[in-house]
Amino acid sequence: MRVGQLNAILGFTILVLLVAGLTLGETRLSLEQYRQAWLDPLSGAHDVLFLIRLPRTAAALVVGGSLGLAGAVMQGLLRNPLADPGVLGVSAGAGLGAAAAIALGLAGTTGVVEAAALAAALATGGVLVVLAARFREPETLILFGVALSAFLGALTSLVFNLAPSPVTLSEVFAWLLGSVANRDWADIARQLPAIVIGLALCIYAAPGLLVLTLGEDTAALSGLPMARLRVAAVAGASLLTGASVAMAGIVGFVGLAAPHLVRGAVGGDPGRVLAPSALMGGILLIAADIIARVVPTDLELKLGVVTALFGAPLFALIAWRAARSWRG
Amino acid sequence: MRADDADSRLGALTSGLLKRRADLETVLAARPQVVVRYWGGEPGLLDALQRRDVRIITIAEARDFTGVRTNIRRVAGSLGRSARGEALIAEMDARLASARGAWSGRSALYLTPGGATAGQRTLVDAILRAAGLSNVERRAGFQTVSLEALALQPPPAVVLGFFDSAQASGDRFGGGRHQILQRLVKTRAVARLPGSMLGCPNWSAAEAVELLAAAAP
Repeated sequence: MRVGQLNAILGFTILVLLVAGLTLGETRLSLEQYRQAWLDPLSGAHDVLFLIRLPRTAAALVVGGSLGLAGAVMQGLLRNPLADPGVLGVSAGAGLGAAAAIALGLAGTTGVVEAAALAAALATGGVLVVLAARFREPETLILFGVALSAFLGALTSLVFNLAPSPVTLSEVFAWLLGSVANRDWADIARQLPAIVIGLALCIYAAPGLLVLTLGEDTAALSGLPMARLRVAAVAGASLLTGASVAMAGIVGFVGLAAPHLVRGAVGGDPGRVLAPSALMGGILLIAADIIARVVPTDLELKLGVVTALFGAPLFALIAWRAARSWRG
Repeated sequence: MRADDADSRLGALTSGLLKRRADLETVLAARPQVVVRYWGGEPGLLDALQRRDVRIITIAEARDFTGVRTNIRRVAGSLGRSARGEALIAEMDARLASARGAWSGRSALYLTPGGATAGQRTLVDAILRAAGLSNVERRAGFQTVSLEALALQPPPAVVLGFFDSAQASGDRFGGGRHQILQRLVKTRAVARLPGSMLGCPNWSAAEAVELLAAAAP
């Protein structure tokens, strides 16, 4: 299948899900209320559609798209199908930043937790950029990333350990479980600059990802500025992941699964996988958010819980089918 | 929760006191006959103290003022201060009597910064009713508010709880951060109850009722 065709199908699916995201929610609106929502900006129905459901769905699209793209870039750069935005510690860094801000009592000021998450993700990304510039072997970067992720996870546990009150603990915990509930347009706008820069860096790095599939030595002879492209890929994926975690907390599996779901249709060129992965990430997260909304539990399910509950079996299925194809 | 937390009723009394960890060694060093606790802490600590003949009094989660009276009597009795306990109860009941019916049955929603509310069988519900308010939340226990329901049917009045505390939401990404709830807070809030009056099921709940009644039109 051509990439354009796949993108068109995925784009249409997103449109359908956006309509579902506007239609499905806690309350059932009548046709009259839908009419009112479009015609009367002061009506409650307008608030439900355009201040609650639409920004929430848009946040899921942006976060899912960012994570899907970051996952595709990581898998291409590291030439490892198990890579995702979390593997190099960027998600853990962002989680630590947010947890520390909450524990320090800074959460009362709007945007501080998100800013702390993004700053910590950028700091982690900075460490990775230095490592990526120094070590060419993807295995080395992965190992450093795993160590960094474990260290940052331990620091987050330390925040739990020293939390001043159970309320702080529950607050950090709720944040780390991930959600796009209650997000409004300002939350999305705050993270857009980081996402746009991350997107630009990933697009810039795309040609290098294809060359890397031929091996490091061949890539070095390609004439492309590989060191710069590698740094751009890490920095771009870090920015996308950091902004996503800042907006929605930690949401797993999307960055891992989205590239796998589209790779079969577009082939092995990591550059061609990027756009479909971003669209697929958006689809996965909007769908997960709709599931979180409509499952009739007393407390709404957290997005990170839904993506893990559905993502893990889905990923196991993908791995099983991939293993069968390898044997065949 | 620590006694020197921002929303602790005893915060002023703790100034200058040595802060110690609530572990077995520290507690035993104080040689207590009775330990009064609310909730949380290390579960093994209680067993260890009881094995050393320390009496543990656990303050129960009160759902109404009868529960608060029971708590006061239990603690006062265990400390040999029953008369002081009865005096506190009398003072509390006097506050409740003077505030009774102040809001004449007007509907109100209780709201925390994180977008949580309190329904039936909670002390907050008892506080609202004691001041003559009718609780909009019909579900039992502590609940998350429904943004969509509030957008379609905003409550006529909102009573804010814990808005004086930076660490009071339980979920910083809860509904309280949304512009719809912030609009409700700006336009319909009729009273702000500090966390120090709501954090523990004791006589300070009557002070919250008094504060609510004072805000009545």
